[in-house]
Parts: sequence; structure tokens; C-alpha cells
Amino acid sequence: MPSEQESPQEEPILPGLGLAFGLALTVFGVAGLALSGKIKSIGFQDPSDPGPHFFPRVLLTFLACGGVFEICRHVFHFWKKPSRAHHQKLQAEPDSPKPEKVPFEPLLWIDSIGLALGMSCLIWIIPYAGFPVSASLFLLGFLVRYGIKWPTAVFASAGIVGVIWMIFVWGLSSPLPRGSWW
Amino acid sequence: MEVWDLFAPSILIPWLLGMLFGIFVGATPGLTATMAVALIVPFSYHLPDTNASLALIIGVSFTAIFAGDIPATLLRIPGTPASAAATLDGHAMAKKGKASLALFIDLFCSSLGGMVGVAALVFLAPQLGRLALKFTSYEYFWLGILGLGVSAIVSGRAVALGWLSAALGMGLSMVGMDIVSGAQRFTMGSAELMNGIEFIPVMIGLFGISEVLRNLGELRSNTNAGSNPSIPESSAVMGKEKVGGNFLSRDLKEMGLALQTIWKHKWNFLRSSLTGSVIGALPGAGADIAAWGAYGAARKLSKKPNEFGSGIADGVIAPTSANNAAVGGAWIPALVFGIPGDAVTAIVLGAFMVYDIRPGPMLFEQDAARVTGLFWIAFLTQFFLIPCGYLGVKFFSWILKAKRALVLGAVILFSVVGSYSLRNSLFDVWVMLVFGVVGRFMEARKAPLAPLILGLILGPMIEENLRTGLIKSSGSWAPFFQRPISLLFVSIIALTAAATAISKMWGYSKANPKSVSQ
Repeated sequence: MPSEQESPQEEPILPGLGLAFGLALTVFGVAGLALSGKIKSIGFQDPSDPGPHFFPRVLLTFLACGGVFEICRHVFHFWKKPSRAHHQKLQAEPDSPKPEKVPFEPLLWIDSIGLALGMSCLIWIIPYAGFPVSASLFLLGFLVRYGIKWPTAVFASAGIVGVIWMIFVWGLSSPLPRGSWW
Repeated sequence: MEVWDLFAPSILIPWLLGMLFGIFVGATPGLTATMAVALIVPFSYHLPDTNASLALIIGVSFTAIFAGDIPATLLRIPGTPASAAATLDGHAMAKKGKASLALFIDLFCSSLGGMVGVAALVFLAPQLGRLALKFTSYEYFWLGILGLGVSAIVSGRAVALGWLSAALGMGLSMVGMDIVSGAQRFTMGSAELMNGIEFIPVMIGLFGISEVLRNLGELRSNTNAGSNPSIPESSAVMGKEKVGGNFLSRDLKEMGLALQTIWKHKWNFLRSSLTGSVIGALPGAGADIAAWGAYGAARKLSKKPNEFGSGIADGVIAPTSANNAAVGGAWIPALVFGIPGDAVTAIVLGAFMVYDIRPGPMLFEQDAARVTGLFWIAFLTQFFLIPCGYLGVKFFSWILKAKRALVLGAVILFSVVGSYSLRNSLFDVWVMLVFGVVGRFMEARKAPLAPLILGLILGPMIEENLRTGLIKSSGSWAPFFQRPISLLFVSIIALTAAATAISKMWGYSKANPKSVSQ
């Protein structure tokens, strides 16, 4: 059964993700535990109240342990599973209908990383160039990158940004940054 | 507030526009109902009337679930995960040339199923509210844990990942000022973090940006292949039906036939709607599980189970009435205990806090007028669903012709502006981006996102009740386990965990009989 978060079209779990997820959780947990030492309680002190450190520490310990568990599970599966070359060899056996190429993992993330970097640039430049200019340029780049022809992309980006400006600034009286450069 | 007040243009216009927006997002494959609600919440803050804001949010949440059934029927692509079960018989009917009939059955079942869900909410919520008045901090602590636990168990296949997701959400809710002592926690000197991590940018990132990131791979492969990255036209069955007479009289005839069909299968409809309401009320279960549960029950209880999947009315009625009934069901624990039934309700619950609506048993006593207003809005939304849904069905081909890149580009900009406009702060936009990446990463690892949102909402409640309970008992943990209702909750948590473990072991032993026998 797919959950609300899952896509209707299932995507495979990539091999290194378990390790990366485990490492991220462990780092989050350990860093949080280190930071929890700096929490200063300035309120009333009741002996029965375990203080502001208690609950975060329990949670962060749970997260760090969960992260270590994820890493162990990944390492266990890594040793148990056939190697990449072996997997491809198995796929190429006469019984298999079609040899399936195992995708090189980082390539699958290039678009996501690219968009995240693009959005970072957008957020960074908004205070200087303002929302209309920076958002139009960002959207133009995005549309052209994903197959929309130049003239359509120019009109569409200007149109979408214009509609957003009209809705928020004129319709909802919510100001959007105009930029310090002009 | 009188019910007629809801028909004022200042309320009705955003309400109907919101429903059309819900149709658009829900019918666009790859965009979820959760995303629709996440994107509309920042808009609602700018409306002058609180009822208009609530109508906008509630309208979107119900319509997006129905709209997901439209591409599920016509293209065999569920618009939202809640419509996955509707692809089976709905699309099979469409292939037989009965697309309009399938969609009208779907529309009426969604509307009527939604009414059953709302009726369950209206009758059960106040009763449960009275019971909940007897709860103390010990019970609320376990109730919060129960909500998170059930959400972790039912929202994904890996329960451990669900718990980790919930813990991550609770961990994030610890950032900011401690409610009891006033101490600053994990703010790292940042003024923006003193009030904690804003809920809205987090959910826009988790459900908006992560969806865009997930869709990019498909978008690129379509672009490289030179095809229109919008719809797989070969699988479309629109226009396959025999045409004759003007479209309005034809549609009215089809609608009459759809109502007759529903009446013929009324017990299936009623059972599926009630199943949907009950499953929807389980924290974390949501409309998708409700739809599959109702479909499975209808098939099991049918005299002709083998015909399911071949395009029969029962197979359309069951999932489509259940998924909308689940939306109403999800509101029961949300309003009574402050524990949302699914990710959509979690977002709505977060938005309620801004309107000073504090869900809990006292809400029914102290703010009865507001609760009545909410019930009316939810009920009337089911009526408005019919004309809005009809427009959605008629304009569906136009929706799908919109290039995916344009839709995703617009979603990115609306996410940026929506996050910014809350406090006019670019810090919130950064938070949104970070959680978009986190959401994408978690989804790729198949870690469910709903428990994270629930953890973020329930974290403060769980901590506050734990510490209040400990202060009341002078540091003793005994009352947490000795009070009858607390003990009941602990037993439910233990039984649910044990049942999950046993069913997993049972599934494993069936899949690997040799390994068990050795």
C-alpha cells in the first residue's frame, strides 16, 4: 500500500542511501547531544522536574542509536548482497529477459542537487535584485533546462511572476522584496 | 455565527477558488493533496475573515483527494496516492467506454462519502470530547505517544524508520524556548530560532519542494526523449465514448445513471464510507490506506470477487467513497485530542494554531461557535464539491496539457513566496529549502514524512505533559502506568507494536519457509 508520501510510481531504494541516512541521523543525534550541554536553565528549579535538557537528550540518544542501527543494517546488507558487477552478470544470464543497467547513483541526484543550488542562489540574490527580477531569471533557467522553448519560457516566467506579484502584493497586500540594487 | 454568513462573497469566493485550486493540484499527477494544502495555507493568513481562511483550507483538502481520482480513472495514473485504488476498476470502466459514468459515480461517492465522514465527525467528536475532559497530563502524554506510534506503524513499511522520523520531528520541536523553564535550546544565538522552527516553511519544504525534486528525474528523461512531459497520451481514454445530443443533457443523463448505480450498491457505499471514516481517524493512516482497506473489504464481501478489477461499479464506489470519508474521519482525533489523523490534517492543525484555535476537549466547551462553523464548512464543502468536481472533470484535458515543467516551476515560486510572506523573512525560505532537501532524502530512503510532521506538532505536547506529570507526582513515574486510562493507552501501544512484529514475522516465515524450518 502506498502511503501519502510515496509517489504513485515507485522508485527503487538506492544502495548508498541507507548509509547516508544512518550517518546523517548519527551526526544529528551526537551534535545535538553535544549542544544540549550548553542549555542553561534559568527558570524555577523543582527537584521533580528533570529540566530542559532531559527530553531532548532522550530523543537525541534515540536518534543517534537509530542512526547507528541504520549504518549496521546497511553494512550487513552490503556484505549479504551480490556485488554490482555480479548483479549485472546475473542480469545478463540467458534466463533473464533483458540485462538491466544498474544506474550510477550520483547521476540520479544531479537534478535535485542542481535545483537545490539554483534555489540557494535565488534566495541569496532576492535581497539585492528583488523578487520579480531574480524569480523571473530563475524560472526562465528552470523552464529552458526542462525542455520549454525560449520564447514560451520568457513569456511563461514573466507571466507566472506577474501573477504571483498581483496575488500577493496587490490582492493580499503582502509585500515582496523589491531589491536594494534599484 | 449563522450558517448563512458563510455565503458572504468574502468567504464564498476564496472557498470556491480554493476548491478549484485543489482540483488543479489533485488532478496533476505527482502533486499530492498534502502539497495542495501546504501551498494554500500561507494564502489563508492574508484573508481578512477567519472563516474565509478556514473554508479555503478545508475546501482544498477535500477537493484535492477527489481530483486525484480523475487521472486515475482516465489515464491509470493516480493524481494523489489516495487515488491509487481508484485506478483499478475506474480505468477498466473507462476503457469500456464508460469514463463519464465512472467519473460521475466517483464524484457523487466522494461527495456523499465526505458527508458520511463529516457526520461521523459531528456525532463522535463532541462525545469523545466529553470523555477527554477526564484526561490528565499522564493520559495526554501516552495519547501523544500513541498517536506517533500508530502513525509510525501505519504510514510506511519500515516501522523503525517511522519512529526515527517521528523522533526527528520531536527533536526539531525542541528548538527555541523551553515552555517550563524559559531556557533557550539549540538556538545557537540565532534570533530567528528563539521562537522555534516555523511549522509552515517546514511543511512546504517537506511536501512541496521535495515533490518537485522527486519529479525532476522523470521530467529530465521526458525532456531528453523529446516527448511532451505532461501526459502519456497513448493511455488516455477520453473521447472514447459515444457522442450524441448536447453535452449538458448527456451529462445529466449520466449523472442520473450514476446516482442509480450508487443506490443499487448502497450497502457497499455505506460500508466503505464508514470504513474510510474509521481508518481515517487512526493517526497517520490517511485516505490512501482507507481507500485500499475499503476496496479490499468490498472485494472480500462481494459475491463476485473475481470481477473486481474488470471495471465494475463496486470497485469504483468503495475506494472513492472511502478516501473522502477518511478526510472527515481524520478530523476526529485532531479536534478532540489535538492529534492529527494524517499529514493533511497535521498541516491544517498547525494552521489552526495561528487562528488561535486550540484543538482539544475544551474547544467544544469554550469555542462551540467556532466548532459549529467548522462543521458547517466541512459539510457544505461536500455540496460544492459536485459543481467544482464537474468543472474539474470537464477541464481535465486542459489541466493535463499544461507542461509539467511549468507547473513545477510555479510550485517552486509559490513555495518561496508562501514561506517568505509568513513573517517577511528570507530565513523561513532557507528553512523551506533545507526541509525540501531533507524530505527528498527521506523519501528516497522510504522513510515516511507524516510521522515527522506529527512529531513536530506533538513534540511540545508530549514534553509538556511528561514534565507536568512528573512535577505533579514529585518525580514518580508510577502514575504514568497506574491510572486506568493511561494503562489502557500503554496496552494499546504494546499490543499494536506486538501485532506489527508478529505480522512481520508471519510474513517473513511465509516468504522464507526454509529459513524458518531449519
